[in-house]
Amino acid sequence: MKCENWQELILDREQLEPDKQRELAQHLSSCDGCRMWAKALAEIEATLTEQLRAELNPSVLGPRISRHVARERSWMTGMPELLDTLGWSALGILAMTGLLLWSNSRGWHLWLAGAGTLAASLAWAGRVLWKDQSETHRFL
Amino acid sequence: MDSKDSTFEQLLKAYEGKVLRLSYAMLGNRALAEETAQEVFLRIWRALGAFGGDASLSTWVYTITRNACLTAIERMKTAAAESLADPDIMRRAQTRELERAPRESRTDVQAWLAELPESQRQALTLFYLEERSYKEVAAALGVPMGTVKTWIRRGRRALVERRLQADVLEKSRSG
Repeated sequence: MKCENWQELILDREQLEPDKQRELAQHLSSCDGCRMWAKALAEIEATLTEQLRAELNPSVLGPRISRHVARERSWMTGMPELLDTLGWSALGILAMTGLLLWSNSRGWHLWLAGAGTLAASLAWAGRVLWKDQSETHRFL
Repeated sequence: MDSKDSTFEQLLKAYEGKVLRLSYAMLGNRALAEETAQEVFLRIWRALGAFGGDASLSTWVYTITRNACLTAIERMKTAAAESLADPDIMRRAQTRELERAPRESRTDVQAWLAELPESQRQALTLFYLEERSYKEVAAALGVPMGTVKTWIRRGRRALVERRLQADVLEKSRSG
């Protein structure tokens, strides 16, 4: 077998059958070129493993992620209440507008009533959409 | 703490390292990998209720991670294209490149790794970070094991050849 073929075996050495591993070891003991090749690979792998592992430190990431999620959670928890408040306020405006219309039926009161109805509808639509989104979690 | 929170905490503990390693392998930059891993866990938290168990949990987490990394890569490409259009930024980058050139001629395994095709670089990075498990690398990258083996074999060969070339160059310089 040519050295190039032995080098292929060196590259796959983790997966070799015991017989093949013995043959490879035998060849390496007698071939300087392949021995140098195997040594170069082993050195590269040791350096890379050491450098890559040193570069990553996951222990600092966990607490940071937990903080981000806590922030998101508090925002998501507060939003329905905010929309509720807006909805009730809009309903209040609508009721007041109705009262005003009932007492005095001039044209600008109709505009006010329209604006109030629109605000109420938007707020309730927002509330319904929010509920739908948080229930289905379609973020992907 | 409700059940969603406790599930998320368990998931974070189990996958924090894996998500960071995959992000790092795909992006090749620690700061960006951390930022992306954060984004991944935020997406996981938001979508936890929607996970129906159709795929395995690890497949689901890895898919979210790969998608987030691909988005980050797209963003980087757009930013790079915008920088190239700016003559001032180009001039500064070229100056920095010239200043850095002599240092980069030194033997540097990570620089060689960075020169490999993307698929080989990602597979090799994960391979050395994931205790040399072909199975884990294949699951993380979402490709068949045979493909991973080919990428790793080619990447390893390229690194060794690069190293032997550097040795020859070093000898010719000193001799």
